[in-house]
Amino acid sequence: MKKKNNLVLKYFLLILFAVFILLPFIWILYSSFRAEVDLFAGTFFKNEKPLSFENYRDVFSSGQTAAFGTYFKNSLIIASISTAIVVFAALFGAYALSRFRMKYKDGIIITMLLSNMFPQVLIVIPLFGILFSMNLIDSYLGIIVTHIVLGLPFGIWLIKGYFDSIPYEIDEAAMIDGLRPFGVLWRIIIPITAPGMVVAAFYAFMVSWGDFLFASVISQSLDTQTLPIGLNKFFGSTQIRWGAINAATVITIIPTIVLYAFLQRWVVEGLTAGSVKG
Amino acid sequence: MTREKKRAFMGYLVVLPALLLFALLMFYPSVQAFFDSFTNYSLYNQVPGFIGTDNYEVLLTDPDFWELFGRTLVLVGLAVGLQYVLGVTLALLLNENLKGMRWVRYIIMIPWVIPVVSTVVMYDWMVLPDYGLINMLLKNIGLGHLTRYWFGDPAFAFPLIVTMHVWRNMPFYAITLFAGLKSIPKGFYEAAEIDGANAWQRFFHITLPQLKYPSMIVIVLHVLWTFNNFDFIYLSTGGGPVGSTEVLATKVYETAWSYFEYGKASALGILMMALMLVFSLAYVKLVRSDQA
Repeated sequence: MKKKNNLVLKYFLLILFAVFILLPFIWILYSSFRAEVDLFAGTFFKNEKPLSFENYRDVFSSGQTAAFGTYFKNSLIIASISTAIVVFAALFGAYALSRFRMKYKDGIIITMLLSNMFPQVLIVIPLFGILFSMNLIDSYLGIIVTHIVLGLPFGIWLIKGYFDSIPYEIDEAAMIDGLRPFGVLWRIIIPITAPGMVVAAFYAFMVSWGDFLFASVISQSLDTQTLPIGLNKFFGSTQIRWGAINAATVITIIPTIVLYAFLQRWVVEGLTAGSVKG
Repeated sequence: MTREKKRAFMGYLVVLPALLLFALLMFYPSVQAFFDSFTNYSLYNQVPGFIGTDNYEVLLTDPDFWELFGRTLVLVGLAVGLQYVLGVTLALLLNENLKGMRWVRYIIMIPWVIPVVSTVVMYDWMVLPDYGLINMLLKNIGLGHLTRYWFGDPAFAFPLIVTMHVWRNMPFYAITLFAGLKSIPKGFYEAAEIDGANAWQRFFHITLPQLKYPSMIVIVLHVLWTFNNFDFIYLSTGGGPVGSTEVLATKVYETAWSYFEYGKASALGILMMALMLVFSLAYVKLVRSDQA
């Protein structure tokens, strides 16, 4: 009997957690299919008009949110390029830091990780001036380089962990067989560290896709404004069109959730590895 | 050059691009901000003049600063505290072999992967004055007099921001601590049971001490994250109503980008950084001492 009560309690708690976590998603997803009249009728399930994709069509066509397509395109370009560069740079950086005998190697890693703990609201002030003098304000490149810096330390640290777990003898054996250091990298190490690269890529994408702070200062026009900036603009306007905004929010969330759905096993493993083994 | 030296040289060469990018976009701005904090640099003083520690003196003697400072600490304390307690609870649940648990483990991380701005929109949509989910629920159970725009109420805006922080990051604690739980040897629990320890005793004498290391890491990481976070508040309440949710990070942003007082904003940011640096050094020491 006591065992059974315990089980009920566990399920009860689990359901509470699930409701807390999922409710905002379910509510906005459902709302995004409801017509505007029903959103403001004060009812939960009674709908005058049938559920439809009307709001989604609206996002791309109506006045207030018409630029959504452009924001989406900007975000996609910026996030994809910065992710690709982070993975590439993290792979080489981590390889060097794991395999070459260098002085100050720990220092390099620790300062990089520590730099992610600087208040970003502070960094962004002089960063504006620096990017301005390099003519990078309101350009893709300006945002991309910033997002690279945000995603790289974690990427290097994570991939280095995978390199460190491969015994050096494997490299040596391969080199005796005549492979040069970078041949070892391509033929042996990359296949083994693939899960780490996947997680580093996911993290870099997530950071870039979600960044509001840096984009808000570097972007100045529709040419470079990203989804978070756009969403905040719709949201801050005086006549909020909730139907379209709900749909826009769902579209903003979907890419990260879909990516996570494919990669979740590695992501969870990669994120927790460091804090457990140390 | 010897072969060893050549290899080290190559190593530096490979890390160099990353390092340069860091130097240019992280370290140089931090140093620049440090110098700016001793000037009256603003939109109106484009050629900054050195004013010594004036910015710091003004800040540290301003009661508003101490109010912001206190509120920031309360936010960090409340958010991280709740995240940890709920995170441990959820981790223990995840560790149970219940039906459908694989799905739960997958789903709970979703709040963490989505952009902060979308979280803010979702929450705002739920707490709208008349047609938000929360107010509609309240009306339906006869508590209509409690309805309000929750983000617009000075008494509730701050708790709501804490809630958003908890919602986003608590799953991260759960997943990390769950991984920690799995690495505790089963034998510990068996031995304790033989000795007659009850569930609470097992939790406090085995589980919690064994989770010490992952706990410290998630807590320190999230203290930093929450302390530095600016978008949750900026995007939801903008620091209002009547300044009731203003914290240090949002103040730095506003001082720089609404009032264009870069020197003053830098001084405030440097104070934040100094605080977190002390905190981070303690963190590095922790990681190091554990590895040794």
